Amino acid sequence: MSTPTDPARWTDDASLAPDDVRELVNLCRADHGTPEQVERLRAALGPVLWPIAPGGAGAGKAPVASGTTAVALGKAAALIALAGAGAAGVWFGAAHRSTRTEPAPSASAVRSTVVPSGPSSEPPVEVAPAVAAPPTSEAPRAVDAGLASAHSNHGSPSAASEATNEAWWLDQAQAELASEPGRALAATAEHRRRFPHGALVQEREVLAIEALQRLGRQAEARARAARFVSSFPDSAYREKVRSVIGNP
Amino acid sequence: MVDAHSLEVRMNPPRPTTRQVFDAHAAYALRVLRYLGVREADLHDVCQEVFITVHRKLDAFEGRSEVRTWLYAICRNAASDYRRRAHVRREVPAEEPERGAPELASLEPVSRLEARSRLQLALDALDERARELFVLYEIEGLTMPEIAEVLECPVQTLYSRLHAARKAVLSALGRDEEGA
Repeated sequence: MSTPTDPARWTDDASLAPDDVRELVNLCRADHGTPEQVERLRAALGPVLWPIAPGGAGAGKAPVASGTTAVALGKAAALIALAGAGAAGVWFGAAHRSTRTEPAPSASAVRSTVVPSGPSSEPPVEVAPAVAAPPTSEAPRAVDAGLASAHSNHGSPSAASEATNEAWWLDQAQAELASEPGRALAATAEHRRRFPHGALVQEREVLAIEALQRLGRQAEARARAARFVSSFPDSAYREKVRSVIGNP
Repeated sequence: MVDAHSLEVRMNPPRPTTRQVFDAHAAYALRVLRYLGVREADLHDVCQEVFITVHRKLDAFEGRSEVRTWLYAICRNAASDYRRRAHVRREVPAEEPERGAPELASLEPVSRLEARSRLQLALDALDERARELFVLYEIEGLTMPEIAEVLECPVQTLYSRLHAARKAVLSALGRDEEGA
């Protein structure tokens, strides 16, 4: 559609563009890619951005995402909590370009081997976490080593690549948040180490802030929240972060 | 006779969900990103970033513009960030060797792949603003007033820029400047 004053488009009959150029632009205007490209995107985004409806596949294995958590985290929880975690693979990240459909390792399977086994009163220590800063603690490496073991046990040649998946790490954090916030914090730290400039940095920070708050590390939670607001002044999570830590 | 509810819906249409935006506009987003310079190997990841941003910002979408226009702005920012990152990495998208030969190339008509490759190379000759204008007008079919809103630029300025962009594209296609 054009307004009366718009010049003729190259695809218009009235255009003076050479015929082959007109044909070229026409082909590009009809360039919608392939249905496979769209479906690949849907497979990557769907489980995260529009969780499986109750009663859908994997619904019985829903992760920990209590109403309280969902309210506190708002969209972050909606984004990260998979309705079918353990059944639905979440495939984000530049490292994954395949159209794989097999499930990611279940949270319980990973928990049994990857998380430091100390008592919950001794959560993994995360030193001065900062947005997009390189990790400094050993805890994430412990998680990493355990995960490698889990994948080794898994026996799948593609399992190792799952550990590099962004959303997978945040799924682990989300699943642990209510019951084991220390482990959730470690998962966010591992995400930060692997994906310092990942697509889900904001979601990671929201999870980390709530984990710190749940651990009673209020000063750290507030400091991290302040950094979040400073780093992402226009974030949609800004108010939610404030609500988690009580409007610093 | 229009009841109050119908009027309310008409005045304030329900905000679409992320899924609805994806279902209706995913192919559009892919095309926009592609012609704004995102190379095939990175298209999937950049498009994921776009819809994550859609998800984050959907609550703030007030429906004052068309969803496509709003989505275009997100794609534009994502493509701009992408080009900046590519520049930092000294990886110039225009020099991508596999351009026009994506991994799903075999599923697409050769004529389309060739056309895409030729036009992308020609568009690489334009600066960012000219490229956006050309893509919006010639590929996406927006009107000049719509483009003026998106690019925040007077319509009269756009006319002259379009003329220059067309000349540059024709030149890059190896044509004399006929039809610009």
